[in-house]
Amino acid sequence: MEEICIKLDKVLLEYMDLISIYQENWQKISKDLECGYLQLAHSKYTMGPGRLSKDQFDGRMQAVTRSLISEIEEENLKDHNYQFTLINGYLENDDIIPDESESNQINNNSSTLRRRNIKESETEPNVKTKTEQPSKKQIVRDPIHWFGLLVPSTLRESQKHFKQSLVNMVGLLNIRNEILMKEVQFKKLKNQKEMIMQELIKSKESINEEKKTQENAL
Amino acid sequence: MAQLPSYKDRNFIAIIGDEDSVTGLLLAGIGHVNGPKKNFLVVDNKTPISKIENTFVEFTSRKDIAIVLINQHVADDIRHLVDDHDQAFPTVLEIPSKDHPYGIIIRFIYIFLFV
Repeated sequence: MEEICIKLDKVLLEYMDLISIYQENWQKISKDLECGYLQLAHSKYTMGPGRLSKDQFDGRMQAVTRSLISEIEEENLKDHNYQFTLINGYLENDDIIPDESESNQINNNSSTLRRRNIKESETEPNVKTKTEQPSKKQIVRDPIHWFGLLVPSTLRESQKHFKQSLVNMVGLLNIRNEILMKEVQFKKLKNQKEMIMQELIKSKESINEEKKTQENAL
Repeated sequence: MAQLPSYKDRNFIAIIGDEDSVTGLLLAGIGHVNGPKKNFLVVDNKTPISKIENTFVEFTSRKDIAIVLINQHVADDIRHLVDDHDQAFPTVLEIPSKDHPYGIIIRFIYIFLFV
């Protein structure tokens, strides 16, 4: 009984710690997003009207930043036992971009600036781990180039802030899962405690009854 | 949960929000277009609520999306759908927008209700 009470207290303290970490994370995300929005607004002002809008989005965009889901091995916890990881790069099972050769020609003909900013991931052997390797011969394109080659530094700053906020968001989701796992754990321990309490009450009642019968017999 | 085995195919992060939020997060590299299928929706004051609802339902029923980010003020417009979403994947996260900063969502009072 004491062990369960100690465990309950421990889980509750961990739960409170996680909530405070959750709140702190939210504050970080809010700050990063605030800075990102501010720098974005500054970039819009600098670049002029219509230069930074949804009309400039690339219709062939491919996700460079993705999330992987992996399982956490926990005892008897089937729900919420997963964790998100943010990765950069393309995955092996991606379809090859249909106009890749076209984009390669464009890249070859364009200025050295664009060529310098393009990274090519090399072919790698298939290794089955929890995190997958980037695929072969995919060109990682920076979305900032949708808005021009020479973009203002405020736009790059904005991009940095949004990337950081995305990392914090994924961290927040993992903390949320841990909090939900703690809730499940707490509920289980509480149920165990209640069962033990009921057993103790029953055994006390039976002892009292025995005493009464003995007294009556005397 | 029945969807757990398929989580390995879920890689994309979707976004439903105003133009600045979508632009910013697309700059972070989450945008993906595969033919007519996109993983983002720009919401402005002319966007009908039915379109937001349909897009949310579409994102939450797709098997390749792991996380759906949605601005809080947009989520308030489709609150019934967001609250009814109880699947593990995709996970829905409400984020603040430029004009609507983060409001505290009371969620973690679960344990205190049962103590």
